[in-house]
Amino acid sequence: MYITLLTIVFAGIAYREARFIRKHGVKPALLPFTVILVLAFLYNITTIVYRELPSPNAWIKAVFAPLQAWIV
Amino acid sequence: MKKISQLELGLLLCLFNYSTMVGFWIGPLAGIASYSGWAVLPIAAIIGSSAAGVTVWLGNRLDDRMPGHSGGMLQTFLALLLTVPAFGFFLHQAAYIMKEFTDFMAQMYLPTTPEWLLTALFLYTAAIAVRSGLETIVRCASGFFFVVFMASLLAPLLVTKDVNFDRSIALVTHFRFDSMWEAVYKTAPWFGESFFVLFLLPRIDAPQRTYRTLLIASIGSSLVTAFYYIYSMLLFGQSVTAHLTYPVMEVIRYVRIGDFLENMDPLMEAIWTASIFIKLCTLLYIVTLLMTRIVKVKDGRPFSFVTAAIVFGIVNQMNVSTTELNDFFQSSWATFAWFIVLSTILVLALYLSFAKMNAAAYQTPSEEGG
Repeated sequence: MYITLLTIVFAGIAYREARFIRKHGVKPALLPFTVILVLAFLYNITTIVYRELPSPNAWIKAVFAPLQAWIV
Repeated sequence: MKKISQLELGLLLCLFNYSTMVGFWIGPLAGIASYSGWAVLPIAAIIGSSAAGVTVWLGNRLDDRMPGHSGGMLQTFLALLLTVPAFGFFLHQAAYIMKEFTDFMAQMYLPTTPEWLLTALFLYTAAIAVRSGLETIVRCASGFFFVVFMASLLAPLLVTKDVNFDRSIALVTHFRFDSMWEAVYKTAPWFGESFFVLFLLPRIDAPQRTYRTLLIASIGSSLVTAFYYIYSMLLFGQSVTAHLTYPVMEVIRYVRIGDFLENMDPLMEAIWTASIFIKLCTLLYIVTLLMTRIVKVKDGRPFSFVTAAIVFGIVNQMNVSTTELNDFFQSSWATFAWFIVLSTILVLALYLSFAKMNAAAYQTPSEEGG
């Protein structure tokens, strides 16, 4: 259900913004927009399917926590 | 397009700094700095805004050679080195604030509402504001400023009768260098994150006065936060303040005006939410702006909803408890933020020196003679 809802939302964004880009004549923007939209969609799906995927917090903590412990 | 005045920028920065500091940082700060936390806030404001000021100063010296406009391969590389880490930082920051706010709302007022729905609705509203442009966000901030700060300054005065003034002596006797150093180190990046102004320089009127605005706004918002900090400490003491998740909300809950108004906290939280909204909109706008620079597109409006969707994904991925989130924040975020601010300064300095070298190399002999 959640994934279906997400797909509908992304389809809505794609339709609305693609129409906006075409209407305002900024055609070269359509390609980067499509790429980023697809990446955002895949990312959202991945976070739902793989719940154990480490969040950005985990990466930041792994890199910077030892450094901060040394500084303060 | 109308440029943003320094006054408008100052009001935006006041809300930007105040919103999260007062909501999420008073408890952890009490745990680190105890009764000296009130002094830590203005010191951190000066240090943080000075770091942001250096980026703005370097940005002003670059003027029309701002990274991302044009240049050779090296300049393009440096431009990417400047925008990509900042993009990641602000994207993460937007998601972090969204997550903190969602947790707060879900715990306090909407326990039966799914968190993802709260996130989605709030982000949707923010994305609409971002799509409308920077001018809309700045005007919103100017409108909200007086409501937020008037309410924030008046509300604590209504709990004065419950305050234990005997504790106030500790405010001038409890100064320990090691705890203050740690607190300043962890608090200053809250103000340092206003280096986002660097990316808005072409849209700001009289950009050479930006550092002064940054400093005044940071000190102003730190003093209002210190005001709440002192009230929390005098009302609850150090230990309780440090262990409360949202001490300011507990201060507001003490307010009782006669028999007719017993709970002022929903009203105050609604007003404070406006400042969180401004901060989130500003962060989303910056992320969208940087994304358009990375992919070299002129109009960023179609990207606002996509940016919001990415933030939504990160918030869902950060599906941890408030305690875990606070632990992450206290153990590593400050260093992460310092790293981004300092690397931005370094990259800008490199960019400026390369730009100067290029200008000198292309100077004609007649120009040299003249």
